[in-house]
Amino acid sequence: MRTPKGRDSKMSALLDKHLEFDITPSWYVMNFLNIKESFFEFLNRHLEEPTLVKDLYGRSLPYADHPKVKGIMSYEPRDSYHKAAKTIASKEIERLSTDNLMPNCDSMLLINLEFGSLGKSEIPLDFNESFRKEHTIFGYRYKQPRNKHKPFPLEGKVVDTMNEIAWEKRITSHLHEGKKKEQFHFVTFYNLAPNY
Amino acid sequence: MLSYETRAKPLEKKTNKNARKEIYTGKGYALFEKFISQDLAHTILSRWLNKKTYYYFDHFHKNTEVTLKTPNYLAKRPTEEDISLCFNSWRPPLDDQLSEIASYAQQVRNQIEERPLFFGTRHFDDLLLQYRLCRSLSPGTIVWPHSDFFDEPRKDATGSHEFDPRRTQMTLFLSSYGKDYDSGGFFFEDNSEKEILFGRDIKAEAGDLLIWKYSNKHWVENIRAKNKKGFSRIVFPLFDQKQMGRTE
Repeated sequence: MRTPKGRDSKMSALLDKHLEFDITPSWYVMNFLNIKESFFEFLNRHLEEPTLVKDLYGRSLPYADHPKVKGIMSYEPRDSYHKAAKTIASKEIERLSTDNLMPNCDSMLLINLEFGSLGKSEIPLDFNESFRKEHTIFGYRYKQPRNKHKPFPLEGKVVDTMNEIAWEKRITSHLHEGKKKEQFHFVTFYNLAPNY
Repeated sequence: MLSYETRAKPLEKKTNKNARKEIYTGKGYALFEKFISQDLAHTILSRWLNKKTYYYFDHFHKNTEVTLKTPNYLAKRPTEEDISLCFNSWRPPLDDQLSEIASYAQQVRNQIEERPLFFGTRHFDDLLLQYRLCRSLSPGTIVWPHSDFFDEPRKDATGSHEFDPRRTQMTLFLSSYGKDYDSGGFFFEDNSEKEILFGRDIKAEAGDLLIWKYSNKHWVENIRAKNKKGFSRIVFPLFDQKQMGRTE
């Protein structure tokens, strides 16, 4: 796709790779490189050793090529994103099954918090009750400009705002000392491992 | 049986997918033939290309000055005969039938752009629909060649014009090339940057709805009218509520 002069030269190919799988050139795709940069800053801070990342609803996985990410297991029922991720990433993306969600000591779990608004999910909504101090688990939100009535502006979806709010409360219900937030330009991360 | 789950949307899933593919990665446009009948296109023109109706329109407003309080307004450019009747969807409709057609076309665009079905027609949406019935008779340049949402500066924009390849524009043809005008009209550069004149190079006639990639270069010029319809069409700009002064 033709892009204006002054835009990142990689943008055109990224738009095409998403369009190939019928993913609209939305805010997410337009900001894929910005989101990637925020993820890289975050992972630089948290990953010292090569680490397996387990991922829930990570779309086309903007961080997949981070050098400390040794592998990715992704639970992404939106098949077009899964296919796009496999085209974009330079490493193998495995499917993550719902009976293997919890990370161990050398893996990390990343959860895109938008999944609360995606309707029926196979993931048990109380699985956060198993989160422990020794786990590395983060939820995150894109900093997408949004209408205040719609926390997660998903493309092509009729969003149930009440469901989103309820789910977000539930996924953090085990944190009795508040959520620790880490802000980057295009993504906000929430540490979901309890500090006790 | 009447049910929400099986309600009819303007485009079937497969048609929608094909149209999106054509617009974003194919030729740069999708044409829906006979979106309205030629008889209806004629009726609409007969109703509105009538100087007596101009009374119901306010004087011209710049895009940058349009607010939720702006009434429907009229532009005459470049001559008194080249008119644009600007209907604001957020104001009570002067013509229920035209309002329904515009709203239905907007639903088609929303499906293609993957937005909520009624986006643009609700007061709280970030963008709000205006529909402009335009009739051009003059031989000069009516709309200069430009791309929208392609990081190009605009003097009188409806909102931010940052690069946004998702955005599409629609043209509902109300007159036909060869019959009502026989030169010029709507020029468009397709995705391979090949110049197209709709009506002449690609069949498009009264009643057809064209949805096209807004960031591709387009212009309107060199019209030679054969009758009072000339090159008549409806276009569907969206106004950014941030610019319109929404405080919420």
